[in-house]
Amino acid sequence: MTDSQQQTDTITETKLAPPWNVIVHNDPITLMSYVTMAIQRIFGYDYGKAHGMMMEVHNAGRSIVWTGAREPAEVFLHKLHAQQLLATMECTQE
Amino acid sequence: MMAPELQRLSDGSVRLIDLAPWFVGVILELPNLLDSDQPEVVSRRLYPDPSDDAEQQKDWEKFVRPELFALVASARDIVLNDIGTMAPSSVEAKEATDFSVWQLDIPETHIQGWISALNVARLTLSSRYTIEDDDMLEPDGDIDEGDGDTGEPEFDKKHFAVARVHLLGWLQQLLIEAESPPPEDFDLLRGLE
Repeated sequence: MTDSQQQTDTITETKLAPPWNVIVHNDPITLMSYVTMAIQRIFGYDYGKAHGMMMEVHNAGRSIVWTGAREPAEVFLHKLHAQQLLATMECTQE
Repeated sequence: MMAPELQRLSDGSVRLIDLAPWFVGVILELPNLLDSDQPEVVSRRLYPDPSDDAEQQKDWEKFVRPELFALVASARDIVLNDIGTMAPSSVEAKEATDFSVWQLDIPETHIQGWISALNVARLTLSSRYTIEDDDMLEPDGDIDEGDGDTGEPEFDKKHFAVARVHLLGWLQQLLIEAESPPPEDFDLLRGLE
């Protein structure tokens, strides 16, 4: 190797994509029973779990209703918006 | 005064009976509230941004919103179809008068569409008239008490909108309970502790 040549080493590092949270936010107009029904149907949760999440939305203003990979999170968010729920998604790592 | 009632029929459809004329009026207004031509403030509530990410907002606008518009349009079609079949309840009242009570039949396959349509209508009213948490509780005392002759309060537009939001919510609750009732052994008060 001459002085003008440089050697380049490539280091490959594999990192898992960070999970995303799907969040439902409080809305004073939407019925509590409607929120419960929507969460239950979209995520397949039983009534008790969906009701608990709805109560968290009601009392704390928001609830993380699902966490996982970005693509399915977008699909769930789409379904929540189709029910007119105030919902967003956010990455768990900035 | 007779209160409207919901009956579940053997074919899975629901029948709302004893609908007073003023309630029929509120129901007949539903298609207008589901119209796609709404003020910006309504659109912002019905079709919120998915996140703070500008790129995602752009994609959402392009790919997701058109589908959300279509869903609301579909719910509007369902409502339009069913209110077209609304009729006076009793045989004697077939020639409807202002005093007749009406009934509304909703086929089983339309119930979810109605629940969704009622939700959109309530959100449309609340966005259009800036109805907040407090507005939903009790009249705030600002209601014009009207003239001394009738003693009837003259509700302003916002109070009238609040009343409609409550009425449509009551109807929506009836349909939700018919379609998706809580399990019999579930203690609804548990979550309130």
